[in-house]
Amino acid sequence: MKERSVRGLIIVGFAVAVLVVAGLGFAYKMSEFAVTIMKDEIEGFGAVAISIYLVGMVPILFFTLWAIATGRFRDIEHPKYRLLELDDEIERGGGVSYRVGATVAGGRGAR
Amino acid sequence: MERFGASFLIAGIVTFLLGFFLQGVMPVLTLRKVPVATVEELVQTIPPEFSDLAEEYPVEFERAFGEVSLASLVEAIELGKENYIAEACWHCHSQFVRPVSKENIRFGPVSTPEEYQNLMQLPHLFGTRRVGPDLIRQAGKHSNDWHMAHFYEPRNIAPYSVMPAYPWFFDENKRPTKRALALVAYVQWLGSWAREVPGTIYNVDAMRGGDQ
Amino acid sequence: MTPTTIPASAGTRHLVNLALVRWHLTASAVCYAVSLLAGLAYAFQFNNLYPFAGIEFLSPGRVRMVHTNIAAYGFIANAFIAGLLFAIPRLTKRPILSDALGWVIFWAWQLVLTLTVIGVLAGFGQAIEWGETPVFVDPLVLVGLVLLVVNMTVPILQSTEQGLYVSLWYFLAAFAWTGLVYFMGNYLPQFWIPGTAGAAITGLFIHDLVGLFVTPIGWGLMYFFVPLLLRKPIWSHALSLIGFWGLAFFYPMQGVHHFLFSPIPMYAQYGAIVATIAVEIVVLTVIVNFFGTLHGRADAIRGNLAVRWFFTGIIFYAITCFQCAFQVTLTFQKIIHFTDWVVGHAHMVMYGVFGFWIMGMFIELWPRCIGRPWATPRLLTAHYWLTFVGIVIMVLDLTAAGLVQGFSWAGLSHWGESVVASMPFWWVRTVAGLIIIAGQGLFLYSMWATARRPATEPGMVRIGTPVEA
Repeated sequence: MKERSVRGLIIVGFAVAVLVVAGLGFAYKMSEFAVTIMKDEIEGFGAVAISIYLVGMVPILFFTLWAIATGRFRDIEHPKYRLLELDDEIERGGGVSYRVGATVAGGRGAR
Repeated sequence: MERFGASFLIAGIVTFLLGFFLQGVMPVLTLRKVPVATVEELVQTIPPEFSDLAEEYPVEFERAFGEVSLASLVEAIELGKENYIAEACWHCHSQFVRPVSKENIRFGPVSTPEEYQNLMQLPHLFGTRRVGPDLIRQAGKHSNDWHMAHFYEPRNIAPYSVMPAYPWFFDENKRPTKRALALVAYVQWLGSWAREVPGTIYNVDAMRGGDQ
Repeated sequence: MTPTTIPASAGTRHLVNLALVRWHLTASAVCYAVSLLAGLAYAFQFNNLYPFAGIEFLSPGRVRMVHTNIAAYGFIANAFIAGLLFAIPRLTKRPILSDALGWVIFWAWQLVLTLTVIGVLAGFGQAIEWGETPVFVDPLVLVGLVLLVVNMTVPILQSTEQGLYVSLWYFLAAFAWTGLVYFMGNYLPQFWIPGTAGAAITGLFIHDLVGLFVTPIGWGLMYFFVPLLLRKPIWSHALSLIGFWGLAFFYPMQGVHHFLFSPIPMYAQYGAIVATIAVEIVVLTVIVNFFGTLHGRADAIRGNLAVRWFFTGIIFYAITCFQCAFQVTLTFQKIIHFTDWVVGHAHMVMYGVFGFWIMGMFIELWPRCIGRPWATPRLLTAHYWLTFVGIVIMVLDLTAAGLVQGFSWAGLSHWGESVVASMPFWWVRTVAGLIIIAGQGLFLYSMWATARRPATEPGMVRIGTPVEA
């Protein structure tokens, strides 16, 4: 059990570190971006790169919200065990055959 | 799997918006203050090196570009840039002077964004590695003859050089072809708008003696 | 080659099309050889011993573009496609959308590579780093990428598995990004955006190609293969997902760090620096997770060659990322920018990390595709050591060369002095390259010798089967 709590601590630590450090960088860049856009100077050129980033990031934001909303993170450690189960199932089932149109067993509800 | 479908639809719409943004909004942003100069607008004076080129290689110049004029200068530097890209010169020569590492002493004035706001910089040629020196302040640092000899066999001029020789820029009589003239015109044009004092003041390598 | 899998009876289809995997691996190996030889030829230019001097179509500048582009789009991309063709069906229990489409993509991709080599050698290279593929090849690349994405995304969408494994998150993200990144980098600075703003976008492209194509697919494949090799789940799935979302949000911000001290506005440069240092934390999640998984199974490094490749790769990764956090600062940039330091860094990331992981994949996948165990385990061990020694020498040498060059320039020595001082380093680099190439010669011979072996029973070669090492 001790190892579990250490693991939890490390994960939370990383989550916080990523959020804080990267969030600071993010906030910094966005505020500079806003300032530059308002200033009517040649420096607005660099805003192009950030604009691309900003727009490219929006789908990712949607993905995160969607993933949280649909409960993708509810049983967060499940897929890593499933990976090994799947490998066993596939190897046992004659290796590499797949029946077209067949419903695959062991899918939903495997958790 | 409708949930996946829905989220991909959202991503798809946003991707479309991205396209619109890139092509519609961004150029407006970019061009707001400084218009992008075409090469014709950019080239307003003929650098002395270009006139010299016509005097030094009269037959070849005449055949390649005709008279010395703004039009022929534009043609020459555009062709020169094309060859500069084809031979990937930009892998070993950068084209911007940084405000650090005493580069303003070695090469000349530090680069500014305005300098690059023209179609000669489409695509830009900033470069990523300096095996040889930076070229954005190259105009007039060497003579045309120096450049010609250097393109033909760099080690004849600078024995330590690792630059490839470009014999295919010259014909069987070792006379420059149109490509050689264009490249020399291009390299001699780089920085012709920003030479502080013509000649060697900024050329540390020249001050230190050696190959000049 | 004889068919090596159980023949599919009527109405059934192989889950994994091993023939496709095999051909992509073969193409990857061929490109690997081409890229290495091009790199060697280019290295010889720095010793003034260029073998093709005076031949216009093999001019060193053009050959360098072959080296980088075939490494990225030939060696790495082909191997990644092979890995995806294997991993995605086995993660989703669904085959790819269409095998026929898979073959179309395979040939289209090889056509892209051939045209790239021809175009670049004929002088049509684009002046965009990592995007030198000629402009007339770019549309084909984009079409190929879109087809690839369709072919590979459908099984993920069809999957009935509950909860996506981290690898699939990474693959999906890479699919969403790669096409956009390629379009952005190859078209905007080429046709529409000149000068400084164009450079900002090129910087974004250089970095996004590494960060949004190579990195997510590489990490995804690593997260797929390593647990299966060790027969042990990864240490923490939650941590790997933190890494994923961190990568997604913060990686795309840092492109401008390729042009520090350039005329690009300083605020963009500062932002890029901060973002880069932030991403180091994201990268650490991967490293911690790898070692957490390996914990208690370290014997596998000795007994299983594939694990050893992945392990060495992650060690290099830790080193590169540590180095990266420093070299991105303005203090370091004053000296090391434009020098061989950066070349060494690039080789350590692209070859020392992702190249090594691809080697680990090869060790696992090639015997499976061929249906025969490796014929020459001892040669493979020699291959590992030669590659390892070669890359270590090369990276150390180029890093040192970069410092010598940078300080020589800052000290206002004559330019020629920096070249003369670099000569010994360039010789060592060539020798290191020769060591690496000798190792890869053994490897390619092993692949060939294994394929020539009499077939054993299919299914005998199972993932995680240790290779004697």
